[in-house]
Amino acid sequence: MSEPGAAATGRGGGPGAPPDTALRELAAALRDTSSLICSLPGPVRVAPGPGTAPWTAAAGDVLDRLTGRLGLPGIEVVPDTAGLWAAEVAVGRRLALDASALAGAADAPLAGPVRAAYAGPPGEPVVLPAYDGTPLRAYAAGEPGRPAVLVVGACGMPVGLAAPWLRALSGTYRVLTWESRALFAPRAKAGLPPLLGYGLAEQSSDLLAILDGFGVAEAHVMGVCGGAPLALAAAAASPRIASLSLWHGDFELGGDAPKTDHQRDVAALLAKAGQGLPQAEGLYRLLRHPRSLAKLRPDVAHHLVHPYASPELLRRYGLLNGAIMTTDCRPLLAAVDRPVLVVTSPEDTTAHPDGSVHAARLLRRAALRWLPHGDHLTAFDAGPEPVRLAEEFLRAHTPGHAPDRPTARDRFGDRKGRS
Amino acid sequence: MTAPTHGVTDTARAARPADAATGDAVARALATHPAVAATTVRGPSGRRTAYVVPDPRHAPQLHRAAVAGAAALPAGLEWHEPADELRLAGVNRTESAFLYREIVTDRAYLRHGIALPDDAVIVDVGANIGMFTLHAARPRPRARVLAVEPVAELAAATAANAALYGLDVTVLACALGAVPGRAELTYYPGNSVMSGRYADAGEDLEVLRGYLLTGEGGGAGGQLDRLAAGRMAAERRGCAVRTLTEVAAEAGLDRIDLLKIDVEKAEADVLAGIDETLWARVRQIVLEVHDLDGRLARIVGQLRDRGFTVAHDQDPRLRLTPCHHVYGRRPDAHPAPRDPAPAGSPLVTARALGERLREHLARCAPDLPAPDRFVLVTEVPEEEEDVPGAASPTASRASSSRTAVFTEIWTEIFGPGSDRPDADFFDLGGDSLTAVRLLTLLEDRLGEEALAPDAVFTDGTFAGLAAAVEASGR
Repeated sequence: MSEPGAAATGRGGGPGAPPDTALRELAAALRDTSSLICSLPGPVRVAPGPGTAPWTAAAGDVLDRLTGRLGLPGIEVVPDTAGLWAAEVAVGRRLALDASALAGAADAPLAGPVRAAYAGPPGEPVVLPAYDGTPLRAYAAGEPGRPAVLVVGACGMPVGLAAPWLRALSGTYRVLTWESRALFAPRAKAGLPPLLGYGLAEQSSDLLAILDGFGVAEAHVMGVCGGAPLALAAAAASPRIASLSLWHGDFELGGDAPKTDHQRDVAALLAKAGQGLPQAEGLYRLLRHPRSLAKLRPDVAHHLVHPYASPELLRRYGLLNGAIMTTDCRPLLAAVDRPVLVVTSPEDTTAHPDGSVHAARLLRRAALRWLPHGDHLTAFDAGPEPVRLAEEFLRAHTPGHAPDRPTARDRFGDRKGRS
Repeated sequence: MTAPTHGVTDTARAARPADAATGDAVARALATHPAVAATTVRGPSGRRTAYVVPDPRHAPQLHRAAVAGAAALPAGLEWHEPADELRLAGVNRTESAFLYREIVTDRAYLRHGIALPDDAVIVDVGANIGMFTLHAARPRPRARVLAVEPVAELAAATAANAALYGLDVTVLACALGAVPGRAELTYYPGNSVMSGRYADAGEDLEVLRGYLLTGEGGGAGGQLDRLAAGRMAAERRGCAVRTLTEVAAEAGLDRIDLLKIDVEKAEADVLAGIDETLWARVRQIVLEVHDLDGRLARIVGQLRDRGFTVAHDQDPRLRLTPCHHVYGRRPDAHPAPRDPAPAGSPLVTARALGERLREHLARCAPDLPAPDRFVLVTEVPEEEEDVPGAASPTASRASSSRTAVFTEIWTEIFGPGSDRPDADFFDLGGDSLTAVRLLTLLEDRLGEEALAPDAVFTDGTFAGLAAAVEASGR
């Protein structure tokens, strides 16, 4: 049995940390991994954090109570990572279970940590209907009534990946986002909703459904990675998108711009996965191997592997993201006449920066900005320089910040229904 | 090299008239693209190959690449395409990819304010295959580079690459040191970037292990040891040693805008061969320093004493190694213009050409099938037998052709020479996405279930996977 002070050495913060710090951190980690935990077939197995004391029944009791309070399935703790699949290893790394720290906080009440885990951003999802009825898990941060920013993340990624942008901008804006259709259960233990449509048009119409659901007439749309084509498609279809920013966009431009090996390989993977469940099952057997984590950034790996958590998820991901990666963006780029900020970095080896360069050329009102550093994933990190760039653009182009422009209400008031 | 004899099997020959007609139609459509001077398309579906003569006016670099590709490269070199915008001669694909990432993607030598004017004079000491020379000079047609590399194969690669892009580069196949003379150096063909006069197999193995442990896909235990040891097979070579003062005078350099030194523990020797007159002409310097016995502090101090503003850093992937980069600038140096923005979409690789032509075909002849691969040539082959890689009439039949297809795909992914029986998928740099590429290419050629998706985890060697592909056809 560990002493209470042991909590300070592992999960649980430094000396003098409150006794429930370990619980707060674990509750936050469980929330952060909840989509993945709920999506994995069968019981989830995790190993304790490296270098921590052997797992104990007392620590297991705390973990069970906490998962129960968070509405999550039980988690089985195994001695080490041998025999675990990639997603389980990723969950285990994020949870970083420390038996000593948890046992030290065994008597602390759970209510506070659970409340803190649900506090945003991103907070609890609200379920909004897409135009075809598909339930979408959506999130909002920042005061209602402020100028709206809709963050469109990469297909299949849990909200945690986009959460830094929600945190960074919600002090000034009403920031909205949602998770890809039919890849997330609307409620714990509810199962995946049916995949009713997967084309770029259907997915981009979800963006407008989110605006409707939150009662937002007009918004700046921030498309990150695969979210960029969705943002473009929505802007081409609707004047409710007042301005756009496209961050490290992954654009299909025919042969006009090169693609990285990564883009080509992922496109091949998606094409195969989307062929059917047998093909997705074959790829799942390959991708579930822990070796597939080797090139993933450890702090976000639990988000990145979500679409690979089950064969059915992978099949749907193949169709949804496949549509995003293969739909020609050139007509969309030509159709958008709103101000657009296009951001990339020469260090992006995931989505070729020349794609952004070419996209900016085809847009009528685009400003291309190069970030000197930043690989693809850093686009989701909302670091100081990207946030400064985003805020500068938003100040210039967002309704409510630009006094010489009509207000959002004025602009939208002329139009009937949604566009 | 790839096995060519699988190109036409009996089945393929039976379908030949229809294939020929389709190939001719595809060739006519491709020929309307401005980058194409002439083309022919041969082979059946699944192995349809477009042989393309690039247009020297609209695709001059591709045309030079085709001409250079037609000429025999010096022994030990092969063509690599580490990125869509770069084709170059190198010694092995893994190192070309590593150098591209370090020099082009990570800009290892152009940080901390180091910048180059359009007419830069650059001395690239330890040029290896000339990756930095290309990176610095390709966007600056008025730049002049003196590249120094003692390993003959690497110097030859640098020269071939400079010629490919028409750059003003003088290559010296010698080492630089404190005094002229001769020396012995150790050349690691599988790990050329660590070759040098002061190579020490044990010490270098530890550095490599440190890099592999922190690098992507870094493993542990026996596999890591196999990977590291496999790259450390060494050869001893003799080479001439000259001083930088001497070669700079010979080349008539009245200024050096950037002196880049990466010579694997011989950096202090190179610096010792610079006299006071030449030091005054060096505007910027960047060097890799192996921090052995306090060398980093000594060199930093030495540069500061000579009036440079100095910074240094360490690539996180090298944190378990003693390797650091040191950057020195004269405080009075005029700020150089920013590096040119990355070019839009330069057409210099067969891969990039293939993408453009597939798109072109989809636009102008959407009903025609795109070729499965594109090969740069200087003349359109007239007859089937003239086609590079065309089959002999006695081409092997189905079972051995499965292995041949697998071999071709494997070497396409991992490079020529990677088809050794014990070559391991992961040791060669494969990952799960690479495995998907392997599967997809195999299934395109051999049909579904040519290889179990997770086979790379059960026996990931070339021999094991080849056997599995062979067995799946029975």
